[in-house]
Amino acid sequence: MAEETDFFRLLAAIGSRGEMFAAAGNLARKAVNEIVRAQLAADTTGLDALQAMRSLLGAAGFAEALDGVAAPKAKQLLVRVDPHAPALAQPADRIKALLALADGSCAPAAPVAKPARKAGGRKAAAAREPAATPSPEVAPSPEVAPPEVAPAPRKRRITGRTALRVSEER
Amino acid sequence: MADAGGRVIAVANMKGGVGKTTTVVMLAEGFAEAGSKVAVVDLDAQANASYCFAPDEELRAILDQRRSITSFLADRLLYGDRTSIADYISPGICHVMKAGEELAIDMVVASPRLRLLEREIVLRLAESNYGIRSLEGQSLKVLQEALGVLRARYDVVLFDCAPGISAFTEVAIRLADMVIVPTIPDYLSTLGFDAFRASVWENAHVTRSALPQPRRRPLVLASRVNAHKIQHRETLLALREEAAEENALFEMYDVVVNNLAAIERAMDPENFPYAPSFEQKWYRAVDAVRDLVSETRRRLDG
Repeated sequence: MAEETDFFRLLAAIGSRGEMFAAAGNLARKAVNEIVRAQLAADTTGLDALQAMRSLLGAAGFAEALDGVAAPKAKQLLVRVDPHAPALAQPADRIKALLALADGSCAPAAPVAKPARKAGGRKAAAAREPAATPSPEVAPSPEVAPPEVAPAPRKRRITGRTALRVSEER
Repeated sequence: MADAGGRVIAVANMKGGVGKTTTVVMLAEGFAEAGSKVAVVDLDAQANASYCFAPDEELRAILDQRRSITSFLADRLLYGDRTSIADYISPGICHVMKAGEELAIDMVVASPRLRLLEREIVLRLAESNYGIRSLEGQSLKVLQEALGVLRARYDVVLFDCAPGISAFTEVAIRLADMVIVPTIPDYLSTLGFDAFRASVWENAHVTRSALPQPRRRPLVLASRVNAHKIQHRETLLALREEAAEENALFEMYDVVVNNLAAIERAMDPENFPYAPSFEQKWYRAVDAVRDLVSETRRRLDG
């Protein structure tokens, strides 16, 4: 731990004398992004930490680091900091949501109140039902061969792109 | 003296497969990520740059509407139409994101018919007793006017030129503020570069031409570099030494573009079922893109 603390102190020292390290080029940017991304992906990072990082880095620096977080990790982060929000399908929408949560322009969604469970729920009803015997149509027949596993689809067809065949005649 | 407004960069090389389109896409997205408004003009009938930005269905819809460089040039040079280049621009063609927003890249796409267009124009001119120089002159006028419109709207205009030398590529090279020549540091590619430079910058094979000289020396960008290959290292060294000579015939980028799997992955849009962020798309090549952009900016300003 002590070693880590030392290296962070050294990073701060380097940052205060950036002109001494001009040959490093983009390395400082890369280092900042990697440090921030590691923390964003950590299970311990919640909303407070997200907002603190945004405040520390500023809008552009924070957005750049967040943009580089792998899509599944960004999805997990959003679920962690805003567990009750409706799921977003597009990675770009999740980034926008995280940016809004981080800068405080959007608050996490409130939990949705669940309707009270009925006394006779589905499980209870199922328990009351006698054990269903499998119907002959559904039951697997030893005579019927299992369906063949379809081969994995090719990534793409090489020929047949439609835009290459547009005539553009007037 | 530089024209007012945006800067124009042509990426060209007579030799194919040296990384012209890759350079254009890296520069377009890199400049846009750094906050510039970018236009890409695809002058290659293979439409590779167009396909890097737009998927097949989107590109087909654009071409069905006749919004391509081919239609623009045909309308101007064959049909005498005066419609502005602005009407042929496809806005927001790039689906790469930064902070949840698409990068600001517009494009005039190309189509395979561009290959035939030049021949159609030459035939039409021959019927009217005009020669190839008339095609050059008319192309120069049309593209010069189009560039006036693009410079006023964009910070950076990028031409993705076709391999070989078409009349349109010749004109683009001569109108650009900077001509980047991606070159693999090996024997055949540097041979190709020398032939290209002699042909365009020395007019070695042309007795009379209506075209002005390019504005500055070609700027060589070592591309697809494999640092493990002795041949690449030695050729790169030779290029650098020659570029450093007094009255050198070309300039040389300090940065090189290495042959990275991350670049090949980034150039295939089908690797990204969702719109990726700039960082996700370029991944391990993101620094290469940024380095290329910052040196290009420095050389444009210097």
